[in-house]
Amino acid sequence: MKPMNVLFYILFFTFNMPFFCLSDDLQNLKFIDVNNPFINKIPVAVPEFIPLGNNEIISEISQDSNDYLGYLLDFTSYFRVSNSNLNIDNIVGTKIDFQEWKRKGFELLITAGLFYDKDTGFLEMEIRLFDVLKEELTVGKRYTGKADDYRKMLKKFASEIMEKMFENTGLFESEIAFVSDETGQKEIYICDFDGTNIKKITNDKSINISPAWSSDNDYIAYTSYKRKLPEIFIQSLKGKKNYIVSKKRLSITPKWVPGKFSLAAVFSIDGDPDIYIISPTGEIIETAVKGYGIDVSPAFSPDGNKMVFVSGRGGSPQIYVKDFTDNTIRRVTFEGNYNTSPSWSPRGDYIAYTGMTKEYGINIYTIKPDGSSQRMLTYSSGDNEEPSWSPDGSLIVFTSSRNNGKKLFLMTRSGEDQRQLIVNMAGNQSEPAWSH
Amino acid sequence: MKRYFSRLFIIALICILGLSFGCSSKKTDLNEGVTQEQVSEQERLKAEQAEKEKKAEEERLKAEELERQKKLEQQKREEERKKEALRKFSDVNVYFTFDSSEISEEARMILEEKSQWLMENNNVKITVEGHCDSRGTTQYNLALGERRAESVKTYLVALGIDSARISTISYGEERPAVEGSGEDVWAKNRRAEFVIDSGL
Repeated sequence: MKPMNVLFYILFFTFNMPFFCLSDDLQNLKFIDVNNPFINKIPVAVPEFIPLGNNEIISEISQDSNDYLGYLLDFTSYFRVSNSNLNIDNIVGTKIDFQEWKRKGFELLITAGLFYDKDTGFLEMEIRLFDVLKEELTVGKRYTGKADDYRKMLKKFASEIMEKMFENTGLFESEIAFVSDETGQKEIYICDFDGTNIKKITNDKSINISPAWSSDNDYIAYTSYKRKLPEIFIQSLKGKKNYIVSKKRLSITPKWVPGKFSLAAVFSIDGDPDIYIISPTGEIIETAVKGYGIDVSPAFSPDGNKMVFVSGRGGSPQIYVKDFTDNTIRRVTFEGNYNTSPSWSPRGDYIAYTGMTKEYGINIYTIKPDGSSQRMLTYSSGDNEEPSWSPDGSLIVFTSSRNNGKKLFLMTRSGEDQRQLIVNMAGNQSEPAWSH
Repeated sequence: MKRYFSRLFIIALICILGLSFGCSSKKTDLNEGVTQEQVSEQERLKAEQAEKEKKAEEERLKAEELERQKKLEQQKREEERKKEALRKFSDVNVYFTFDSSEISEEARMILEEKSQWLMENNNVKITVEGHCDSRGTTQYNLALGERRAESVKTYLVALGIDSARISTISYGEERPAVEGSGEDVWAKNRRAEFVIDSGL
């Protein structure tokens, strides 16, 4: 894996072969675009929100709406957002001069109007996305609600855009669970998709690690030392029943089976860590993987038919896939002597994992489940570990030591736009788990 | 004349009597002196004897005290040896190479000593803690720590220690002995620790 070579090819194809249509594989190689992260981003104009009718609107809401919508679109890494000093007279398509926006270099245009009813305190938001090149409406919505909820409306519309344009769903409603030792002990926390609204969900001053979301996002399973031995705790976020799974020695690395109220977990029943499928009450439904050496860190394909995991059976930790339909196990990674913490993309097409090499240190890689198309997404920026995919499969959250201590970072599925997710939290953060 | 004689006789008798009395009283005095001399000799002997006995007793006591102190010292030494052995048992870790749970030659010697101690202290129950360095991922290190603790336990059981006396726990990379990074730090953190749970 030589990033500079890849960079060379991309520059070569981009500049010397302008009529060459980038194949999917080559597009996937743009992970080295750290030098030019804005390549291929869609230019979108978000002019100021305008008042509807003769109603006076709160200018604060109007300004923040514009900023927040720009922030949401920018967050996805799909867009190059322009939202300052842009104005529009009318939000309706028939009154828009698309040629003008095209000349300014935009491919997309978002127009929005706000109607505020002083008597009821309700806000009406009318908002449209136009394809400037095709001169047509892509999606338009009208939201009504309490004035305070204007950010919720904008999140909904941003979700509409992502779904209509890329068939991506769930990003703006998603949350991220993670581990932080800001109190001195490792506890489990949850934040919104963008690192805001941090909540602490454990508080027992022991060691709490490895959070995992249930398919419906109603439960978080995690490993805790609160009763001395490491055990699996299943905590309802909706005030329902909690569970504890405890086998002798250790009970670790829970992961929920997609669409089911059951989990994969690791026990060391006869002194060797193996992977089992269990009910939340701890009943063993099936022995998933049992072999000599360590078997750990299960994660499922979106359909639940396959499970990726780490095994030391080959002499060093490597990524393997178990196929439940024909009960076969295949090794996926062959490069390097240390490949761990796999995470299966919700789109099913890639597995992200942590790889350690003498040459590059500890980095995030992606690979197809059949072992092809391995790519290194982080490079020369501290230790990078523990990737987890956003529910739409477009982003990866991971742990990096590139700044002081271990912190949570984000990047696109191809390694672009690497940025710190939570900046203002003390201590180390690790083991991020994106909700479904 | 007859009277004269009779008087003389009486005087003589008196004299004789007097003499005899005088003699007898003198004799008694002498006897008394002899007895006294004999008594003081006996007392001297007795005292000497007592002195001897006292000395002997003192010697005996001294010896006893010495013996006692010797014993105490021995006890102390034994206690210290035990304490040292205990300290050694608790404080001396077994170390591993990167990503390995194999028992090294050095670890074998340490574990043999530990098994000796466990045999001497037959009621003691212990926990073997498996630890890892900070490299690699949390989850894999949890499993690796488990393997390290288990391979130490397996070795101790092979040396004759009842497996029921040994518990294991993995802390993965959660409780480093030394903070920081670099091979020196990592090497100190890749370890099994020994904790006494009960029976001392």
